[in-house]
Amino acid sequence: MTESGFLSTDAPREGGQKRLALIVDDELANRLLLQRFLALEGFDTRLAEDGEQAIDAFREHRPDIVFMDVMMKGMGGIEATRVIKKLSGNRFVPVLFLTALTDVESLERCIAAGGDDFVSKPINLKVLKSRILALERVRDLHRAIKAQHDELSLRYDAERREEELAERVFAHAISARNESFPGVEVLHRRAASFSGDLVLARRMPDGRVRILLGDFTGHGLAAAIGILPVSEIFHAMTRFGASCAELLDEINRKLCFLLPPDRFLAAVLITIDASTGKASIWNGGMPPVITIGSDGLQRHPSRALPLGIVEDEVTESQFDRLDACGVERVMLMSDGLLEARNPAGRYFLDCEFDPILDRWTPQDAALQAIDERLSAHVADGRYEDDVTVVEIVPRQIPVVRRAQSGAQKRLAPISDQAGWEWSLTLSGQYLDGRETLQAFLESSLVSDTLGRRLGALTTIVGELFSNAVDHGALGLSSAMKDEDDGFEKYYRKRAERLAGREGGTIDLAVRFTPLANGGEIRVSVSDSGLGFDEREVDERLADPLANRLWGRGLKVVRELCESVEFSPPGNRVLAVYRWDDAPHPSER
Amino acid sequence: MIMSIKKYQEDSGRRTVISVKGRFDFSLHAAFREAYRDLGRGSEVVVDLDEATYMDSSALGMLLLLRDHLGRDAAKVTIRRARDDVRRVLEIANFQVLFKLA
Repeated sequence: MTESGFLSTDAPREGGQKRLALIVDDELANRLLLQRFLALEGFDTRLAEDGEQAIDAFREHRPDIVFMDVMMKGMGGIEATRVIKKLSGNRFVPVLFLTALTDVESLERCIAAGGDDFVSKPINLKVLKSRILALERVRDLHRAIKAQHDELSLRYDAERREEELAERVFAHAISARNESFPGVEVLHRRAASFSGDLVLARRMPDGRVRILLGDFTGHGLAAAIGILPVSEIFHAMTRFGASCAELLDEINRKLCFLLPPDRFLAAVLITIDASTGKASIWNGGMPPVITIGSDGLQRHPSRALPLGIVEDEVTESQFDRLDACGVERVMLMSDGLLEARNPAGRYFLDCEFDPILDRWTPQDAALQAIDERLSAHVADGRYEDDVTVVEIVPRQIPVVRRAQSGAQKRLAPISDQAGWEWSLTLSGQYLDGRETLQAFLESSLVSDTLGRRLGALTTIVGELFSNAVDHGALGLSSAMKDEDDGFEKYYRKRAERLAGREGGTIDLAVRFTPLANGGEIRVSVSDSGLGFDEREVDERLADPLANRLWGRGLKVVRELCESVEFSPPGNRVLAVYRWDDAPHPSER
Repeated sequence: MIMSIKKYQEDSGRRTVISVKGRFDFSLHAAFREAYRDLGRGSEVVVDLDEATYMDSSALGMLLLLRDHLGRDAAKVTIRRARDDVRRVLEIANFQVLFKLA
């Protein structure tokens, strides 16, 4: 270990080369005496007559040890030692003073200049030999420590990089599948080391919104192992309309199987029906969920063990069922919030949290206040644990209405034989309901045969819907995009109109009819706008010089579909998508 | 170094007491494990938290490992004298289901 220095400059001389000593003395006799002695001890030597020569020789030969006279003509030993110590940097090269001086003050100056030891002249060679041995021992120790330090730094850096990578991968895997909803705000503060908080959100086939806030035990990669499977189970089962208990049991089973006994997931699962205001809360090992509404402030404490500890099934008594009792706001939090410490070591719970709750009303959000107070509380920005807070305003979650909904069928294995239809109306601030739409589409196309159509239908429905939102309900003109700064202007205007809720209404219906060897899906979209001239779009597309970005979406839809027809004045469109699963005749 | 984990016998050797002092977190992992390593399945163990000022979720994990070591459902583990802050952590995690809280 001692000779396995990490830096090449600190490695032992190659090819069995001898150790190199630099002898600095202005007396020839002294230099020669020392040279002969060191040669017997197995050293190569270089000689210097004063401080300047010593520095040059040090630069040139990189010796392993320096023997330094104190009083010399020209630059003295003390000054030369200062320079040499600076030059050697992290590499430890012992400097041994050989001096006729005996007063304490001079010796102190030698050591203060960076000298490592001193031997009095006239030199007793036995004493010198043991001093050299002692210094080499110190040097070896120094090298060993440095090597270990370097190795530790390397490992630490590697671990940090892996952690960051893992965090990015997990964050992406989760956020890519998560839905965001108006009325659901999330505050995240990441600890220095990945700490295992996660938020999952998705709309169920019946229109309810389900949110899971979880906190895995521990830090670092170990805390992240369970995130992917939990996210997968959450999205898949929610998409199929599984009940809260079914979902929790499945996550629990999976985690009991996957995780070692001391790892678990504390979690809150909340399901909200925005149309009725009903909600159910399950809390296993998280701080109380807090609600405010007509009943005032209510706490919904943990009633269950965290997930991944014992394989018991979730029971009804663990749920808090909130009737349509006018819950205006819901707050979920991880313990990282309550236990965040200020520089004096006091918890957020003990000095900041209650005043925030005092000012929390059905009308006034708490998230911004938490954000501000937390930043002030953890003044150095170093969080020991992940902090996650979710504030939900059920009223603001878009209600998805259906004329004829296939939703209930989703709860049972669906029979695509009979065909189905659903429709959806979006208006006001919820006009831009792309995620909602996608969730509907995904939950309709769960069977194997229909699943393969998801890509094409996402494009068809997405393009027709965008067209209806932008040009219909929001009344924006695509021609704007042709102007120089048109794109920017267009999207600014779009955001303004959405924010100002100037939009109208969009009705969308999707109907599936099974055919002999495949099926047909009819997508109809109508908006409250004035419509547009479809021929104009066609003419522009035919012109190769025209900005091809304009109207391109519609072209793709035409290519995918059997037919696309606009009804006058252009604010209603019906697209028919048909497919045939029968093998092609030539393949038979 | 002051030892944060102490182990002693009680009730003429029928019970092993493991007492934890200060912050009960991952830094005590090795010492806590050492304290119960020699105990067999079904041994009676008391974890005394009178002097524990804080407890985090990794400490909860350590208690689960202890319970595992002593045979899960067969384990006889009592957690006693937890102060308010520490008791709150145990109760939030609903550990009264798995351990006797005294």
